[in-house]
Amino acid sequence: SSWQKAGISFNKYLAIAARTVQRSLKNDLKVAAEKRYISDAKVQKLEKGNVVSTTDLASNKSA
Amino acid sequence: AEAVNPDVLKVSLVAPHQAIFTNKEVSQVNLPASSGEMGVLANHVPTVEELAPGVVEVIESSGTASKYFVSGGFASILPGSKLSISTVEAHPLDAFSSENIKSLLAEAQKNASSADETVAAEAAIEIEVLEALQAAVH
Repeated sequence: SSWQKAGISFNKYLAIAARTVQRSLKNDLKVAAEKRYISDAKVQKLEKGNVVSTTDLASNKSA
Repeated sequence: AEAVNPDVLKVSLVAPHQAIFTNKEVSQVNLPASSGEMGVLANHVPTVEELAPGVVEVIESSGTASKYFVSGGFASILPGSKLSISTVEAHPLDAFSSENIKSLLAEAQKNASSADETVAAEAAIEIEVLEALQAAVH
């Protein structure tokens, strides 16, 4: 699909879809829903105490 | 031990923040599988389906149906007539504001033509969700 081509991971896809659903709620429910934390995760690889790579799980491109 | 009746479907609908149903006994559940709409009855073949943003319809044995909009996730159909639906957000249809959906859709459609590939791709996901919501709420 187009989001995969743009480098968006499935994890991020679910987060964007969930955020959109939260914002579509009636205003009173929206406030409570938007307080819920949507996590962003990164993986860092260390070698001899130094960071050698960081991968953002929101993206399938490694930085 | 719990008495097991394999001819009754037991459904669980869970989000990280809330369990809407836990092993609720129902007669049928309709799922927005990404491969297409599917109806699940008792004694279904075990399988895992990816869910698209859409409506999960739970039909009780009395015939009463309740509808929940889910943001996407997975449905696991387990042996012994168990169905487990995992999603991030799930809300009854009357929890949504058609005005909010409309204004978000207008904004997403504007961003869909952005030159920034990531912005455009995010907007395309939003449009997918919002169009499904609009169809469900009306």
